[in-house]
Amino acid sequence: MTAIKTNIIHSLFKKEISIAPLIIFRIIFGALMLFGTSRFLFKGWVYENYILPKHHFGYLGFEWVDKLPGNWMYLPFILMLITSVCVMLGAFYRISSLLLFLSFTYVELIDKTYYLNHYYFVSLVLFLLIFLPAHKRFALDLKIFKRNPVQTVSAININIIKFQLGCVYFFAGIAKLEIDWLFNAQPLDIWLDGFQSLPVIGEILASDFTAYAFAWFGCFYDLFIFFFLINKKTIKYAYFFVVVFHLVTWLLFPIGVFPWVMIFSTLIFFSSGFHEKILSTLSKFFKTKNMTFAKQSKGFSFGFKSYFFMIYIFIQLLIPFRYLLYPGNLFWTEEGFRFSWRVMLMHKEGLASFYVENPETGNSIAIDNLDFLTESQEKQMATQPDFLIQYGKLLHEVYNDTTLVFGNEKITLHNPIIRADVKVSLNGRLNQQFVTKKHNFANLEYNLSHRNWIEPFKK
Amino acid sequence: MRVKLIVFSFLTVGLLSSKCSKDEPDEEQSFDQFALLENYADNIIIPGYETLFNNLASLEDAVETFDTDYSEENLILAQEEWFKAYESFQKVQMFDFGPAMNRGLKSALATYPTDTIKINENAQGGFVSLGTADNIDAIGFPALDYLLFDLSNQKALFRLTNGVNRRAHVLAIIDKMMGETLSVLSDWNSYRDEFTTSGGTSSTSSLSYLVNEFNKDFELTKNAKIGIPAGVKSLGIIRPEFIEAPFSKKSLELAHASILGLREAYVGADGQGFDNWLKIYDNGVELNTRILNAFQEIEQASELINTREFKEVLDTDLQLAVDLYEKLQANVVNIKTDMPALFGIFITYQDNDGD
Repeated sequence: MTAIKTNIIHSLFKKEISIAPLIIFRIIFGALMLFGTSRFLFKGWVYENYILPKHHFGYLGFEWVDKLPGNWMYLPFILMLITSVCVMLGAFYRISSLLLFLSFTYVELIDKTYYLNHYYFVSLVLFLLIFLPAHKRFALDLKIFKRNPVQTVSAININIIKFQLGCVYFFAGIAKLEIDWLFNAQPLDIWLDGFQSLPVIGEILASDFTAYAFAWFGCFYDLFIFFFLINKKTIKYAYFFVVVFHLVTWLLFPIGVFPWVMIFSTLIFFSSGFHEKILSTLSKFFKTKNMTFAKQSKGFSFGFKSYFFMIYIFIQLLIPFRYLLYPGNLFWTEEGFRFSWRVMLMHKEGLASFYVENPETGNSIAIDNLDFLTESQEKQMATQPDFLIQYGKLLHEVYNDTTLVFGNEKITLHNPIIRADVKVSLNGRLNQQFVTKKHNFANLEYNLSHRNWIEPFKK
Repeated sequence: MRVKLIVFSFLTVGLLSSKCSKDEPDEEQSFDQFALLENYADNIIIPGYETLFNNLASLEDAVETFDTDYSEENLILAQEEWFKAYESFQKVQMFDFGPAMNRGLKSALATYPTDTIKINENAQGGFVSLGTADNIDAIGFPALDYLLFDLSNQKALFRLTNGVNRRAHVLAIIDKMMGETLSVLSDWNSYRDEFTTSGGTSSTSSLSYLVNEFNKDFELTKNAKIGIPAGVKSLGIIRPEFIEAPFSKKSLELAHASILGLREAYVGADGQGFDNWLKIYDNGVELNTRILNAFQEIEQASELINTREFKEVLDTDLQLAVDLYEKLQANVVNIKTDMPALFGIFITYQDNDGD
């Protein structure tokens, strides 16, 4: 028993394997970051998402993270551009990978309006890269610091990336094992209906058959692809499916760089021979001299880093299940929804009408959300309970102890009551009451406890 | 071998699942988006602008008649023509895209509250460029509301009779409105084909324009025509200074016309409209019923006050106005949230990735 255990630990953690897959991964991920950041800048999203909005929705526990004033917001993006090139080239890798992680994650933390599973994935991979020796071969660092390249690393350095990719797929697969996805083909059905007017393929895409086929294929794909990727015999076929799957999603849905991130990242599952070949081609192209490998360092000690990765793995396996701690329909309340690889799983639309009420008279102001939020922010706010709380608090802050002038009348509001009438439609259903006007948002707390002020979900 | 097995199982699952799918996939394809677009263009929008233009021409005639004979009868005739034209504008103001948007028709014809001080200055004669941004609240129907109705018919008659420049100014304003309407109308001659052939539901598709502008106009009727004067944004303090047509006292009649116009736009008059389109979706039949019921309640609430002066309703029957606002508000989630979701149209234009 212990022998088997040690064997598993040995092959997954200790075993010395070729460093090539990690090196290629570093180059690819650096390039993807460069592409993704440039695209973000090019689309004008720095201005639209981070400079233009007056208020931001911070993450619980990170609400202190503030944006930089005005055009200074371009700074973290410029830093991302520089450090992603550095990571790609393996130049000053330790510091540049750290700065790349910090600048990217900093921007993400400013506003959860823009939360995407794949941004979370990128943040995690960048975090892992800080601790991985991805600059020990085919890297400028070898020249800069006059070191010899290394031929092998302990397996965990590569397996941790595979684990992370596996998490994305497997949990996305588990998340699809639910009624709306499998038996109503929602939200795919409503999304695909949008293609109805395309010539020829429009009718095929919008048909119910296609929605169900995609739903079930997607579910099987997500659940099992990882296991076919780690199997040497099936990886070629599995990779074919990876490419097809992500190209189809890229063609059909506005999911940005995610397909490319996955298509290129999953190359890490290929054998070291495959990566060695790429490396030697690259070496020839860049005319790097024949390498003399450094002597293998002491050998693997099951030290701090291994325990660190084990804890990391443990946490990653637990987080997606935290929704079990909450009662009610997960899609409705979204308690424990984020950071759980629930990808493309839900279509929610909502209308949140907020009212600032004078406690002395019971009269109120109907709020125009766009006076405070951008369209994107309003859209997210209208369907997600934690956004509703934060927005309610913001309104309280804005109107508390404020004197308002209407024509000849002046009214000073003290501790106004903030009410909301929110209606939400989920996965193609018609709207139903989400929050009623009986609650005062000024008194609601933003924390992890169950939000019993959300109206129960009716079928 | 194993791989083949997988492919096979995917296919089987796909086939099986299609069997348990709902039974109306054929109906789903039968809806003709282009027929709907043609109906809006040929039976609602273009005839709507024609009517508006003809009514403006009648208004011009009436004012010209008054210009030669300053009688109260002739003034009243002009006032009636003004209302007819303004009423016909309520039926096209929700099509604020393409030519109307490019020409800024909506703001040129109906920006209020109107600035009476500016209007009086402009009406004194001399060169006035009505097209400037500065004059946007001194032109269009609201400016005529002031010039033709004034504080009373006596006052209007007195000022118009004694001011040759004032009469000329009225005609200049009408002229500008006619010119703009005619431009939009002639633009539609060429835009019509573009409009009726641009299928799909992307943010630049004709359907997206229709649905989005319909919603914007609904909100405008709810907020600007009813809600703001009724104090819903001012802690219950009424704001009569924001009434649309305070001089003619026709605000609620115009609001009623706007509500009827919106309903008409929703059902596509006698042809294919949003209602027909909704019915092809599983939940669309139910949603259509909800929307029509909501419109009915709105109309009923509006009919309780539509013949009265808005200021007087605000002073004596505020709750009736607030009720109408709330009936309008109750329909917003249906037409702005549920309807575009079923159509696959995004109300938000801000472009972002999804996951």
